[in-house]
Amino acid sequence: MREAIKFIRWQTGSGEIRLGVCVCDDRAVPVDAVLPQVTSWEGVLAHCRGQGISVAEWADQILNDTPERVAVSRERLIAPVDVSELWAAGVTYELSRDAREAETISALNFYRKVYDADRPEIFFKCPGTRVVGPGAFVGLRRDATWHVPEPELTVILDDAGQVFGYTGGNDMTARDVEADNPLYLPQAKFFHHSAAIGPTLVLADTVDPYNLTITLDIWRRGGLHIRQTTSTRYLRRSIADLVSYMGRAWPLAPWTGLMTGTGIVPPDEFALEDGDEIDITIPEIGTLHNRARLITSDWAPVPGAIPRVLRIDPRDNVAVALGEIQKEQRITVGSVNMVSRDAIPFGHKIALEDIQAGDWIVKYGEHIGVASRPIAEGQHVHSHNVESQRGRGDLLVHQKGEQE
Amino acid sequence: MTDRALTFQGYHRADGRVGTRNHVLILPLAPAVSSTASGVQSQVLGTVSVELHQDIKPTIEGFDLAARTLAGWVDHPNVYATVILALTANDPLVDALTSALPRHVRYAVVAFDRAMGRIRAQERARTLAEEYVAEAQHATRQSTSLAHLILATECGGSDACSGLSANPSLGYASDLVVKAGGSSILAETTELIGAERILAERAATEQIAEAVWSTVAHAEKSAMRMGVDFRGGQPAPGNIAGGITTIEEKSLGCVHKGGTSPVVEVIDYAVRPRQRGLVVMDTPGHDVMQFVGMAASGSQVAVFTTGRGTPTGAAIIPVIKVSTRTALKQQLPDLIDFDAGAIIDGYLTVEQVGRALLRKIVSVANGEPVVAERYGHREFGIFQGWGSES
Repeated sequence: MREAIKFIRWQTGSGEIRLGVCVCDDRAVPVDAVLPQVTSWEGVLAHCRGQGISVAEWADQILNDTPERVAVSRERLIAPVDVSELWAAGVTYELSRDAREAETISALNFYRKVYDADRPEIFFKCPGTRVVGPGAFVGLRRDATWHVPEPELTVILDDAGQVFGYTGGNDMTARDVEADNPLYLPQAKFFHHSAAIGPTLVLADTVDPYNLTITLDIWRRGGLHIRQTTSTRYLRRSIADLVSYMGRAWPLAPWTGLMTGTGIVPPDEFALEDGDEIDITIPEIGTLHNRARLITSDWAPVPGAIPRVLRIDPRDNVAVALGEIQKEQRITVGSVNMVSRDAIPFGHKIALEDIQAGDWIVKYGEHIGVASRPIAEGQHVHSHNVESQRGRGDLLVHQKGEQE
Repeated sequence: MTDRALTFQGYHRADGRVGTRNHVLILPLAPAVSSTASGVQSQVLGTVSVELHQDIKPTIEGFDLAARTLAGWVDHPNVYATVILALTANDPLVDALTSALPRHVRYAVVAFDRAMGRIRAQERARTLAEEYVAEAQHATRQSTSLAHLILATECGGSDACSGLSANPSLGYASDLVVKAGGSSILAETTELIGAERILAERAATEQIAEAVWSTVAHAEKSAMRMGVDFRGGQPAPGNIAGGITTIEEKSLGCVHKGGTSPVVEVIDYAVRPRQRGLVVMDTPGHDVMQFVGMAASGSQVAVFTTGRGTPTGAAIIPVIKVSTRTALKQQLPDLIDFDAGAIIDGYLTVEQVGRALLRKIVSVANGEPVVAERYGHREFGIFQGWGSES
């Protein structure tokens, strides 16, 4: 096999996007130095087709003939191609099959079956506009606790649905969401910045996709926390097979991306944390670097959010306000709707049912005092209508001590 | 959580216990030799030292307690070997400490008088430490059940959310450790005032229930004798403004960090538990003294829930700090290891965060450094007892 031909794309200081053929890691021949105005893959393809040569042959030519080289710093790199749609395959490595099966409480052998079946697991990862490139942050859902990066060889198809090249990919996954119920797969896979690709695109006929080493490094607070390696030798399905299944469904959009599944699963006790640095390295392609960040949904405040109240234990007859509650406000406790009869400050308690004078107030599933007067559902429960039983109960402790 | 996660990778010791760290400890027995201990630590990579700020003489109340605490540090599964620094070889503390140690425990005593001076003592300590560190490299981690884990729990700087997010999450994780056959220590006797009934009802036997009652009553009495009435201002005006109505409610918020498991034993400060399960240890409210005591009892990982943030750590055990609200974690990222605030914001349940916290505990047990270790927090102080009853 010849030496791999790699392309990168970068954004200049003035915001222009340029495409180039890599000479080495941080140097490239800009395509627009050879083909004025051409900064897109479409332009390159049109040119090569007009010349009747392959993109690889053309790239070889310009590497030899063009003296112009530009240095490209790592921070300027963007995804090497704008994919239209990103798809992904699952359970394509034995290790992935075993991990999925172990994490899922009631898998009914879904993962084992799909590993062995003719029909692969293929799912829509996200629209191309949602894919991020090298250096971007990758997201962590606030409603999940067990995120992992899935380092995957990612196939790029051209406008004819042919395999055009390969890049690195991070198929971010919320393991706890997927493990909870396989029907949650889209939520486990698709969230803000959940797909990253890059840093380079290596042309299809210049590399053997079944002999690539993939290394995952995760850095936490500056220290190497996880290092794992696999090889695409262990990919159970052929890329042609996966692509043909996609093509059965509908005409493939030009520049579709396909992540081919992960052969690396970090240990079960590992979960990505805000600030972790992720490096996915395929030597022929380079290192895809991203930093994990908690998604704070600051792009859109949740409209008209109802202040939450928390019932800590099912036995509790009071709940705690986790926001300021106005009087006569509609609130929801679990599946129960009710209306507040008082204003309830943050951290204070609200009655979940009518409580008679002398009844126990129950929080944490335990007695925290006794109602000193009747309390209606929705009323504020506090020192004005609750008495401690320990105020006098202190004596109990002493009596207990004296009996001994 | 899968079954595979109910194991951790630890250092198996001769007595059957399993360490989560493999430290060489430099332990001073007097304030005057503390700077020498720090000096050795900075000279020899792979050692940890503490600073002792108390004079520990046979004439003080709590001498035996102090000797037991120090022995618990020297004979600890996280400690490969210890270099003990003493002013004089015939310091009674040297004998009180070392006579209690089993044969397999690796240690050496360097006394300033025997070594003929401070410089020679530090040189001798450094040489010994280097030898121990070289030996310690040969120890390797092996997979072991969570049954070998003793978790130390602690809360400090409580806020309105402590009882809602961080403490119940820790309680859930603690229950998972106990279910897996391991142990969890609930300390801070003064924070149990008002919740002893709940703990006593969960006691495995009548005797243990009695021990819960009498331990809390004893701490309470001694506190009052010292002119401090813990309940006089409890709940504090700030607690009441924050929505805490009664002392029971406040104590319950704290006690839930021990989960819902039965109490299998009540132990004195710095005593090694004999039972596996949820254990109550009699400690003062002082954070550092709690960690030192729980470490002395053989716990290998600690979890510290906080609503205000604290840099506190312990030299020989990793202390995982858990924030009650996400804003705190964002405000103090280098003080907090784990955030339970998503419960308050409504994104996650106590069970989800509790399971995630167990993953963090296992990861830290396997060697992931906590922020307190990364920034070298090794606060130290020994409880000297509640005082004798008069």
